[in-house]
Amino acid sequence: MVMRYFILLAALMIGFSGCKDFLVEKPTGSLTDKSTYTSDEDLTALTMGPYRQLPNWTGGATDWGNNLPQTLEFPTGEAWTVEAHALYWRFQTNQVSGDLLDDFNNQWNNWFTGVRDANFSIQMIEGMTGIASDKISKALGEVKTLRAWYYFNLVRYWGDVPQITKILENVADAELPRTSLKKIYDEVIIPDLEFAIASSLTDTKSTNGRITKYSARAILADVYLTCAGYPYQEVNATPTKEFCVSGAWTMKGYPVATGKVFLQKAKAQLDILYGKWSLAGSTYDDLRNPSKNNQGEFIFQAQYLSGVTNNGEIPCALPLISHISMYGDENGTFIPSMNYINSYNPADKRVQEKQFFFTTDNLSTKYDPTQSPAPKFDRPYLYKLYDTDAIKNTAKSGLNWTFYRYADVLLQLTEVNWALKTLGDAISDDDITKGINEVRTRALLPTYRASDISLKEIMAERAYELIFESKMLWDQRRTRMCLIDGSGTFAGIHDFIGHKAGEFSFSFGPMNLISPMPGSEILNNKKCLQSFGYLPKQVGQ
Amino acid sequence: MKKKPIPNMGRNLMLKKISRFMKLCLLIFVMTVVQVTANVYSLQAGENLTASQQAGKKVSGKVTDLSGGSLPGVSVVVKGTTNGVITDNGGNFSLNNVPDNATLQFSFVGMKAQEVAVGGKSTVNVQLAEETIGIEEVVAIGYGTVKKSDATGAVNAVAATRLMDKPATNLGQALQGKVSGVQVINMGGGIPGGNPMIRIRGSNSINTNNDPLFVVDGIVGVGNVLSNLNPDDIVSTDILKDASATAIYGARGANGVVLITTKRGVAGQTQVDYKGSVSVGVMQRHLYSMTSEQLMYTYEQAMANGTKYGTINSTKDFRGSTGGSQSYSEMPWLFIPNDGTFSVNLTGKDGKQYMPRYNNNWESIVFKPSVSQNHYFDVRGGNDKAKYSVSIGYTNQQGIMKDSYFKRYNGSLTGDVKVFKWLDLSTQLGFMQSIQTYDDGITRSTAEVWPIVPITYPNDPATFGIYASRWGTNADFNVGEQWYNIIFRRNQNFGLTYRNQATGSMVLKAQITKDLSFKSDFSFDFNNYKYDYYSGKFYGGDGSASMNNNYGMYWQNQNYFNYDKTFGGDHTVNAMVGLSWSRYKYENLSASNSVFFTNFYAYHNLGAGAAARPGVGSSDGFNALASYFARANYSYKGKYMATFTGRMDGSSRFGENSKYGFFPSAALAWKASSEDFVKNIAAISNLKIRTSVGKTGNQEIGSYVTQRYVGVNSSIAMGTTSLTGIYPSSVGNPDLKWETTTQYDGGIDLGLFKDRITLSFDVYRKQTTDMLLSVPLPLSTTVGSVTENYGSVQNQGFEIELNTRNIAKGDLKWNTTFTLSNNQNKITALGPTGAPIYVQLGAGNATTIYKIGYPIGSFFGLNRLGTWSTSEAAEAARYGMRPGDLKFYDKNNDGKIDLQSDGDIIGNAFPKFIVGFNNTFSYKNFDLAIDIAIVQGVNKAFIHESAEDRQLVSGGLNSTLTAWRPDNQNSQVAQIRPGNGGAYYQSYADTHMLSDASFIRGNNLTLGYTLPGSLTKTIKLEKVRFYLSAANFFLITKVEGYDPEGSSLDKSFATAPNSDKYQYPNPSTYSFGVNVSF
Repeated sequence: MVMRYFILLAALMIGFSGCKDFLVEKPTGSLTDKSTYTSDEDLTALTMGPYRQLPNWTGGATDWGNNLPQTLEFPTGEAWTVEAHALYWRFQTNQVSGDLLDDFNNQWNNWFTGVRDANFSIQMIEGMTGIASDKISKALGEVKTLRAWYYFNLVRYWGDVPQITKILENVADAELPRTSLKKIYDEVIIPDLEFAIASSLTDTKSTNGRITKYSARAILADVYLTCAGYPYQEVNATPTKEFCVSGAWTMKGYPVATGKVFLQKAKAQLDILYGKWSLAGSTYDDLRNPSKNNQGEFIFQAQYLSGVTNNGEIPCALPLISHISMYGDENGTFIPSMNYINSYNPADKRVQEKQFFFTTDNLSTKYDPTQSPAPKFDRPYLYKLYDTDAIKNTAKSGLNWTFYRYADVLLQLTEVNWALKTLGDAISDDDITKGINEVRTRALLPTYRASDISLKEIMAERAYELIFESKMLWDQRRTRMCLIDGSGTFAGIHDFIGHKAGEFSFSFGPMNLISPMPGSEILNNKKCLQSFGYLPKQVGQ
Repeated sequence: MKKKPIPNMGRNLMLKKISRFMKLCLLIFVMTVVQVTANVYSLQAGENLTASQQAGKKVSGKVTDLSGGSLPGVSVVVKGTTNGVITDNGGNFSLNNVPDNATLQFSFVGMKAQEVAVGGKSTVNVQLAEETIGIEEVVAIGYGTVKKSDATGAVNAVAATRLMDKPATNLGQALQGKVSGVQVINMGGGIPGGNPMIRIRGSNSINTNNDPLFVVDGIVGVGNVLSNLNPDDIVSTDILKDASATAIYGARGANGVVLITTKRGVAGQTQVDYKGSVSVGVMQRHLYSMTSEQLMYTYEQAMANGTKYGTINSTKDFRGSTGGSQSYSEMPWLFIPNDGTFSVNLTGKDGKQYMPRYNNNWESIVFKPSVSQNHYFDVRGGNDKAKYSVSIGYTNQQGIMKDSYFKRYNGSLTGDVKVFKWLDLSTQLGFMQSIQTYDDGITRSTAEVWPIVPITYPNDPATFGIYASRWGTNADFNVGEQWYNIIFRRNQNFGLTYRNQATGSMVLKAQITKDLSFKSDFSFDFNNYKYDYYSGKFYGGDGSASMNNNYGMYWQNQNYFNYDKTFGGDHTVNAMVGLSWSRYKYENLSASNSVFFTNFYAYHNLGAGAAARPGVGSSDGFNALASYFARANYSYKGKYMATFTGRMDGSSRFGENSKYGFFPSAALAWKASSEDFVKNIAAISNLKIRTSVGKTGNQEIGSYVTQRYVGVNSSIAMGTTSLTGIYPSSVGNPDLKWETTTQYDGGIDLGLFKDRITLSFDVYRKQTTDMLLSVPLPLSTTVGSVTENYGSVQNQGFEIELNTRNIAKGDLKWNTTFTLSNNQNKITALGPTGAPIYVQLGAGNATTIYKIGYPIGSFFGLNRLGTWSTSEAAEAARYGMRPGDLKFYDKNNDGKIDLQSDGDIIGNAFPKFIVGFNNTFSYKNFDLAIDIAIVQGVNKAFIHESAEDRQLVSGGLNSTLTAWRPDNQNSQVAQIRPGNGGAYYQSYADTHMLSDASFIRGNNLTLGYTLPGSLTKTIKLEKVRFYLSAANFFLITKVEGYDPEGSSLDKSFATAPNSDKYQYPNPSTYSFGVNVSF
């Protein structure tokens, strides 16, 4: 009997000690918001998190061959596709809506995820103790630069967007209205970048893809330049007007007199960057060579590593089903329009075969072991993204996507100086010409005198040099001017409103100055109103 | 987030009581275990010696059924001995050596067993009642059984004889049409091993699992029942539908419960059975894709229309001299000179006429009649002290698509031992393995790959150049996408899914007093899921292999008392109270590699790959339930019955503040036929009126969803290396709790003319509240969703089950079962804003919507009006369109077509009515069963995007030939244009893809013949039955595609099961089988 009771007692004790935590969850595979961050390694992990969205720049937007860079070129009217999946016809006929494939949903999600990642990291880094203050300052400089970059894209694309700079604590507060783009520039983008310039980031070039002060300065210069133009200056003039929802944009003409202070600030940053790189000795082949990533004229790039994170844009730029590559898909969806290409000076090196474009190639070994010539293409295709190793061997490209390179800085320098001169500042001729002429010299084109240069020459040079680098849409919107296609040169420039792009069936109106709010945001954020002229509208809008 | 103050006092008091009760239970359990251990070696079979050695005499008799028909094959055993025989073909038996005081046990599958005291007689005649129709039938109700006549809830019992009257690979197929209120949807079409989806009284919820809870031999929540359980092992299936029946399963009961009892040993003569069948599956319906002639006509038309719809890409246009660099004359691998038999003019650059070299019908190449087989053995025996059963099963189901199959191996052992007079021990061990091929999405190739492309080109470089010996793909014709032909895909792209499973249980039942018993079980369910996949080097890549290995281990321990007593003859009480613990632990491991130099290794040697960064991943976790439950049944004079149940479940899956949920139910029944005033009505043999109300729960969300996670990404490329970063990855919800379904049920059971006609009618209404909803959130501020208790769904409907014995006298018997189910589903609340939730808005999908006021699984889309005619050119231009383009209804008339803004609810994926009409006939030694299923009021989406809308990108259905032409302007298909030649097209989820998917299907026709007993005896067998059977033997429907039911698997949604993008065809199956009892 004694034995029985002893066993019973033991069993009871075992049974109840086991029960105590029976229903308590203990996640083993993931950190949670209750985790704490204390070490240098934690600091690195927090700093790296916000970088993860950068490579999504070349990610897909649903459906075959429709990647996000297409969605930034199609609205300019200077792009084309031979393949129908990307629904280019909706841009051609002004039938773009916030539900168009995932053009807008994915872009929105990518950039706002970047913002959220940065908000989280900033909050956690600021709360770290026991780490040297210069390390904290450097990390915050990196992360805040990234947050500014994501927001800069958001406001350029959509104008007013929700402003959030902290971790969301309560999902009841998840729905936020659109905040004035001016407020976001003034309260987030500019302060974040100015913080980075003043932080303990190194004031050097980046050689490994991490943010340095040079990258922060390049972004800041562009931010100032953009704020000197539209839509910032129009909002600044009438801060209370709901431009994005009403579409009541009216201002035109560039440069804008009230933007002068921003132009001066931009000039200060560009002057620091000037001369830190050189185009001499570089070739256009460097643009498409992954081994030149983060070197030469590159300032800030989305990072790719073949086989780890691949640049998704490479096959989109190849002629449709041309059998010239190892890629399973050759999409033919990322193509400059014929009118655009015809607007190059035939003497321009960039338009020569296998510089920026190509019209012939050999068949891939996948189709022909002897690599005999493929049939000649019906038109030039973009060669800028021709990563030879990826196309001919691996079908996995580690070619970085460039956000800023020196040629862009040089052209901004010319624009800023030309604009300041136009607005009455004393600017030397050399300050105006030096940037654009370094770009033209590499292209084997004659140099300009200061008196040759007007906005058309500057915008045209940007169009030639930075073709399909996700620049033209921003240039059109911030200047409210569009290039008119021509033969051997652009025929001129035209006010954005009323401009009819060669491939389009309609003329731009106020609605085209910003993009439609994504369909998913309209559905799930009742406080978010649709941009003027677009579908789907908010309930009750 | 909602926050409610929670009254804690009451719960704490309750928990204290429960914990005291738990201690008591544990005490009794441990004492029982100790006693067993102490006495296990002294187990002696002392009793039956005396019985069997007593001298006895010969007893004979005849066994008949209620209608007087003789019953062959009935087991007759002297109770407590192994002395027994089987009745002959005339139902007669004769037994020697039967003591005067012996009791004879009569048992026969499908009949209610009977015991008869011999009482010195030498002739004992017995009538056995059928178990399925007999009113004394016992139904399982969870943690016990109840006489059907005393049951208060809506419970349907399906005995093995009825369940397996046709060949079925899984329980779902076997149940189809047999039980009212149960919808069995054939999700995978004819895919071998494809699991049907089972819905009991509709779908309660959107984001959680709506599958019923499977309880197999007392193991609650057994996994993979539909794939792995051999239906031949099943003795009976009980479906619990109303809350009174399901509430005893608390937080897991809301979707209904399927209680399964498998075969166990029997006392008496050893029974040996064999069942075997061979089946042939043949294609039933076709998808009509284009012939080479039709395709080339389309091509010529498309290019001619090219400039109308875009800027034509000249390299894709090889119409003779007008074309680009290549033409028919330069593509000898695909084209040969026209021998005059080809009607379309294909002019090469050389000016000569050409025709395609090949004209393949891919359907006929890949779908061939297939031969499947099924074998099953079981041996059962034992005596009063110990009973055992052994069964093994083998199923080899071959799909009609090349190289697709499902194989299953089952083994099961059971033992029932009377340890003491007061203690029973029951054990069971089962092992199952199934292997299924990867067939997902492959059937699409039959419609996508062009007929002009061969499987492989001959090894003849002189003619075929670089194409010699290569696999054919659409890309060989320069306008085609890289679509690989289906044989190529089967060759290069293969995967196998293994589902290995072991279940086991040990149940102790102690009879403490005459009225009080205690049961304790320990059971486990081990599941291993392994998926291996290889995509070949030639299949457009470097070769990539992956292996996924997941295991889940579930165990439960349940302990409960049962008290059964009748007081003063009028008051019968049955009470049960108990507690249980269960825990499920899982672990997943995956590895992948690519860049293989040869296809040789496939997934057998992942290390042979040379990827820069091979994939590796793992995760683990657990969830647990602690539960306390009780039930009381009370019956007064067999006229008035009441049942009360309650269960409290504590679940690890929910937030700190809301782990425990309480689920009560109550039911009342009045058996009017026991009242004198009804007894006097001769026609009425049974009349019972039932009503019940109760709450059940649903906790089927993943583990750990209440947490706020910080994710990790270890492959953030940075320069020439990659680094690790962390980021916020989920929203989390510490207040999350179970979802509750409140159900009201009213029913009537009626038996007429001595139960020649029995009818059950039930009406019900279910309201699901606090729905576990994945609430969409703005992507601007969150990751996009959070699981919250938001939303309500209502299901209401009625069910009729009518059984009639139309002819019961003499040799001819004819029974009919008619079931009819109606369920209306409606979402009544949804998320914090009530905003609709869209699913699959992108092109190439069937969009569905969850919207207040509409059922779950509503199809959403544009209204396709047809095509713009020439006279409507100006109106079309408003949309940027031309005559020949598709025309859609512009709901808001704003000159723009947008799916969200101009779309509407256009159909429903769940039917209004489901009817099962099952007939069984027997005449002498022949038996015949005919099952017909009728489903009415449902839509199916057949996604045309790539088949009609996206012309000349890859393949096409020949319905494209009805496209708009200047002389054929009344068309639903846009004018043919080159999708890959620079032309635009439109494709939306729309009314054109939906069709009425009502159908009438001949589910089964089986003709059986049982050998005469005299013949069987001479070959020393007990029973031999042969049968011929036809499944899916006819189908009447308007739907396009292979079948009105199901989805292509890669597009399947449980909440809208009818989205078809080239699903696997559902074959007609013809079987020959034999059942032998030795």
